[in-house]
This record gives sequence, C-alpha cells and structure tokens, in this order.
Amino acid sequence: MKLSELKKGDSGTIVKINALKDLKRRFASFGIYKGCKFEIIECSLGGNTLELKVGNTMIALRRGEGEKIEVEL
Amino acid sequence: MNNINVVLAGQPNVGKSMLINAMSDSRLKVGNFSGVTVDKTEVDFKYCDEVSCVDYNIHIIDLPGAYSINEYTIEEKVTKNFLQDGDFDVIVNVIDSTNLERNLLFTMQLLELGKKVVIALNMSDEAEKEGILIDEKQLSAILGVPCIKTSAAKSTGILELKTAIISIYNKEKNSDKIVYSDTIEEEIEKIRLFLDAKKYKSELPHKELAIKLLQEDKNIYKLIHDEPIWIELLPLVRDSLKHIYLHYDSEDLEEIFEDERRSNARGAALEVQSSKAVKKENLTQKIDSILIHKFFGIPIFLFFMWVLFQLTFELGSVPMDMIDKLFSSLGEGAIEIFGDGQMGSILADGVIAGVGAVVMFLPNIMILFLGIALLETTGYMSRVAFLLDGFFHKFGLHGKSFIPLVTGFGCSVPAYMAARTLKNEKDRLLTLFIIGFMSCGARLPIYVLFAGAFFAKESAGNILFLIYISGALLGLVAAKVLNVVVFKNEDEPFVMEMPKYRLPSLKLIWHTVWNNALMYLKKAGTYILAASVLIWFASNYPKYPLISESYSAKIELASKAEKIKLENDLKLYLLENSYLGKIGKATEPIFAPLGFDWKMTVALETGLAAKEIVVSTLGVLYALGDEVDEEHSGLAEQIKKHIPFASAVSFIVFVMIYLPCLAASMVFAKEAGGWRYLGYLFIFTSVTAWVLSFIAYNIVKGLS
Repeated sequence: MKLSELKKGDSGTIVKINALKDLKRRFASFGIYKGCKFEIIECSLGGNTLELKVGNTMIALRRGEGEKIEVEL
Repeated sequence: MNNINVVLAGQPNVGKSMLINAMSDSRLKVGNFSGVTVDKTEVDFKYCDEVSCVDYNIHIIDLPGAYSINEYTIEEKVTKNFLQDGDFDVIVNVIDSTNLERNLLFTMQLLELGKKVVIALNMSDEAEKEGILIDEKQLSAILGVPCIKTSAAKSTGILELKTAIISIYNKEKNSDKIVYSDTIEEEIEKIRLFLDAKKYKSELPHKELAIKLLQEDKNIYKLIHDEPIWIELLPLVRDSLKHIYLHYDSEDLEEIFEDERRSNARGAALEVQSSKAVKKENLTQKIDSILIHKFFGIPIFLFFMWVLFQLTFELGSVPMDMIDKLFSSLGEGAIEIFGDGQMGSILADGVIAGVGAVVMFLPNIMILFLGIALLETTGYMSRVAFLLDGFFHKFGLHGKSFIPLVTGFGCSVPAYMAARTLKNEKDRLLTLFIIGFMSCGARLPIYVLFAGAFFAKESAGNILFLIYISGALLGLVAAKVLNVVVFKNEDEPFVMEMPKYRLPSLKLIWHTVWNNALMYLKKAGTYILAASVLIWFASNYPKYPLISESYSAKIELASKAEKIKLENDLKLYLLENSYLGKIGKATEPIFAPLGFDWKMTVALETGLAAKEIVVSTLGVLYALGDEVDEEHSGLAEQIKKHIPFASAVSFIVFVMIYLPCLAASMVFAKEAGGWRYLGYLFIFTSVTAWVLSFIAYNIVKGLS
C-alpha cells in the first residue's frame, strides 16, 4: 500500500522507499526511513498534500512523493 | 587577545537566530554568502574569562539551517561548503531538545568532520514543559563533546555555552567518540593498525583516515593515491569493504553509514532521554486541526491575507502620503532656492523626486515584512504552503507563491521582496517572473481612464475587474508555459517540515523588518535614484532655449485661457523633441501594428519609470496640461476622440503585461540575483505584451 492512498488518522510503518538517492537522503534527514512509524495528521482538500507525523516531527508531502513510499498499516 | 571564530550549525527551526541574539547585544551584521542569495548573519563580541583573566574576541557566523550535510537545498550546499572549507575554530551545534533523535542525526554528520564541537541543547524549557527530560552529562559522555542546555527564549545557559566554547577552543584536539557497529569498528581498527605500523604521516588521525577510506571519501583517495603506501593499503581496504558488504548485504556504502548514524542517533537519544508521565495535549496538533482544516483552512488563511493586505496598503498609505507631501514640498523648496533653471530642476524633478520614490515604498515594505516575519516565525507559513500547494503546483508554482503574488496587486516592489520566503531557486524565479502580471495599484489610474473613456459608467467597474482577473489568469498560464519551456518541468520534490507553532520573539521580528528595510534602501535605493535622474535627463534634454523664450514672450502677452494652451504647447514641443520623445518617435514603427501612435508610444515608455506617469504624459500629449488625473473628464473625452477603440484595448493589454516600473525592476534584478534576469524579464514581458496586444487589436478591429 502507498502512503498517498491513506486517509487522515491512519497510522503504520514504512516498508519501502522507491526514490532516487537524493530524495531518499532528504527523507532520511527528516526522519522518514524504512521501518519508521508514522501517522497521517491531515490531508488537504483534493488530496494534493498530506501531513504526517514521524517521531516528533510533522512533515508535509505532495501526493507525488507519497506515491514513492510503501507502507503497511 | 584571542580571536575565536565560531559557526552555529543546526537544522531549521531550532532557534539559531534567537540564540545568536541571546549571546550578544552587539549589532548583527547581515549580508549574503558570496554568490548566493542566502542570508549570512554575523556578530562580534568580547568575552572575558574571569578565571584566567583572558580576553577573547568571539566572532559568530550563523550558518543556514540544514537538515543534513547533503547538498539538497542552496542552504545545505552553503552550510556544507562552509563546514568543509571555511575558516573557523569551533562548531556550535544547536539542537531542538524536543526533537532530539532527528537532530542528533545531523550531529553525527557534524562529528565526522573532525572539528571541535559544542552542542547547545536549545529550547530546553520547552522540552521540560512537554515532559521530556534530557541527561546532558550522559549525552556528553556518549558523544565525547560538551553538551549545554540552553534556552534562547529564556536566556538560560548562555554563559555556560560561552564558557564551553572557550574551554574547547583551548583544548588541543577534538575528543568525540563515535562508535560504529562491531563489523565496521573491526575493519576501522585493521586499517588503523596498518597505518600505525607503517608510521604513515597524515594530518588526520589514523582512525579518521581509516573511516574516510571506508566511506570512499574522494578527497582522501586523491591524496593517498599517489603515496607508496597505496600499494599495500589497497588490498586491505578492498578486503574490509568486502566484509562490510557481506555483513550488510548491500554495496551502498552511503546507505550503510547512514544506517550507522541513525542507529547511533537513536541509541543516544533513547539512552539520555526520559519522558515524564505528564502527557500534555499536543498544542500544535490542536491548532493545526483548525488552521489546516480541509474546509476552514483556506477561508481562514484568506482572512489573514486580507488583513495583511489592508494593513500594508491602507495603513501604509498614511505615511506614504506624508512622505509624498514632504518630498514635494522639499522639491518646491529647492526650486525656490535655486530657481526653476537647470539646477533647481535637476534637484527637484531629478534627485528629490528620485529619493522620494525610493523612500515612498518604505512603509509598505516594513508593514508587509512585519506580517511575513510573523507568519514565518510562528510557523504558519508552512501551513500556507500546505493548504495552497495543490492549486499552485498545477501551474508549476509553490504553495508559498501565493503571498508574493497577492502582494503584487498592491505594489510589485514589496511583492518581489516577499518572494524570498520561497527557498527553492526555481520556485522563486518562476514566482518573480509572473508577479508583474498581477496589476499593481499604480496601473489602476490608466485602467480607470480608459475604462471611463470607452465604457458606460455602470460597466466600467466590471471592466476593471475583468482586467485584474484576466491579468492574474494570464500570469498563471505564463507560469505554466515558463515552467515547461524554460524550467523544463524539473520538479523538485516537496518535503517540508511543519514546525511547531511558537510565539515570535519581538527582537527577532524587529531585526528582520529593519534589515529588510535597510537592504532595500541601500541596494535598490541607489539604483532607483540613479535611474530616476537618468529618466529626468532624457525627458528634459536637449533644451531649446530659443523656442522656450519665444513661447514665454507669447505667454506673458496672452490672456489667461490662451496662457494654459501656450504653456502646454511648449511642454508638448519640449517633450516631443526631448531624447525620450525622439526615442518614442523612433520606436513608433515597432508599435504601429498594435495601433499605437507616437504619443501612446511615448506614454508607454515613460511608464517604464513609473506607471503613474503614463496618465500625466497622455495629458501633456493630448493638450490638456500635465495637471490631470484619471477623473479628469476632459482627458477621457480627448482620448475617446483621438484613440480608436481597438488601439485603446490593445494599449490596456500592453499596460497589463509589460515591464513594471523602474523601482520594481531594480528590486527584481536584485532579488532574482543578477541584471541578466532583468534582461530576460524585459524580453519576456515585452514580447508577451506585444503579441497579446497585437492579437487583441486585430480581434477588436475585426469585430467592429
């Protein structure tokens, strides 16, 4: 399942990140990596952006980036 | 006297700027890192060590916030380069205590640089409130570098931090101790022992050299590659790497070390951090549930924008009027003192009017930046991006583009400056390029004049609305086109922290506002002034003393009614034959396909200086004296009589799109990062304006 398919309030674990090195590193520096837990805090109208909580950090992503992250609930 | 160079490094939103403010009362110096538009804040202060009675000169540079030492954003690039090659003695790593694990990940990267590091556990008061307890002594023992609890907001721990800086400065060597997992440590040890046995001479300690070799650090390989030791070292390193690959089941060294750092960071955070049971309700999430609510979020934001906009242009208009009055009376004063000859004219119409034009925008800029600083320091700006990104991204823009674009409806000068909130180069440039499509307040008189002249009073309002809306839509289309053609759709990923909501620090906000105002005055102001004088010259020279004299002789004899006509004839003659008029006539053929005569052409060209001048130039050229405004019905009648409808429509279209005023153009060049961008903007807007005016002209002509 992809992160972009989730709804507000869903939570789970990241299983895989299908991104190039640069973006992967970027994700990692925000605390988004394989094995980390997350919670979806909010989705914007139209679902183009979503806010997730990882550790003590809130992060906004576009749907496009969310599609690159595989998760399980 | 000892000089200590300190750099502050840390992730964004950890309170670095506040900390630098808390550490020194001296005035902060704000500039740019060479070659990029990234702010560089520096401060110098003296510190006296009471125990040893030694005086120190401490120089602090605040590096841009970076999530890691990779080269992802310009800020991170600057930070990385400075940390690697910059000249400094001590790194102060500022950490957000409420987000220890993620911050320590950055710390691990810093420690690998092998420089002297002090850690400031900032926002410790906030952490305590949230029930997070950190054992800084334990952390210090684990990392091998001093860790000091600080709170920039409460000014606690500042003295301790300074003492720690001094004491680490006086120490011989960095003592940090990062321990990797057993497999890697084993291989490091093997290589280290070999280097020791060979008594290899290097600047780096052998252990660090071994680590860099295993990380395949390019610079180290380049260095060691030419040494005799290389022949024996190579198989050793190759063997070690093989072991590591086997153990991690991966050949991606970067990822392997990234994993190492992460587990180190997590391990350290787990060990030193304990949470008290007081699980407080998460305030930020509570506020977010309203402010970025699916349906209420955008209306609430629009309301905030409306308030900011009203404040900027309504409240700002009060001091603006005062400044305007002050400078026109100064101008009159200058004419009284120096007479209305050349000296008086250059002072009044050139210099004083030019300075006035610069200072005039100051209230706007300060109020707007106060608003933006509030939006940014409270953490709301990221929410704005979150809310609006969905819409703006369709046009290749960013959620944060909204604020500069809306500001553009008031005035392009602060709008260009507001685009600084966009951290990504491409997003910022694209936004800068289309701000001009949002018709600014100074273009309104032109629209009012033409709408009033060609449309019934009832529909003139709708026409105005149509002009503004179609300008904005054109801007979005232009953004899309530029995005596809120029920026080639290179879409940067959107991963953005939504920082905690925080109360802003007044000192910091004032500092931001004041610096922006100063920078505007210094950088843009000088160019605006110079260009104003140039335009004054072009519209006043060459002089025709003989003709002026013969006119003034006639004027003295004439009756009152004739007097005005004669005075205007003289002005018309002088303008027509000035350099500006000559340029207008020379360029007339370019504009002929759009249905403009030379008078409209000159009016447009004076509009490059300021859009307000277009109306008064038209007044002079259509024989009414230059004391006209858009409500003057006489001018509207003249225009209706002399300008065909199709030409008028095409004129409006051109005004909507072409280059903003001189002041705005100067600010644009500065914000975009070079004069060549102003060249691009000039070409882009002129060509677009010409083409669309041409289309509009021919459609309207065909219809009527």
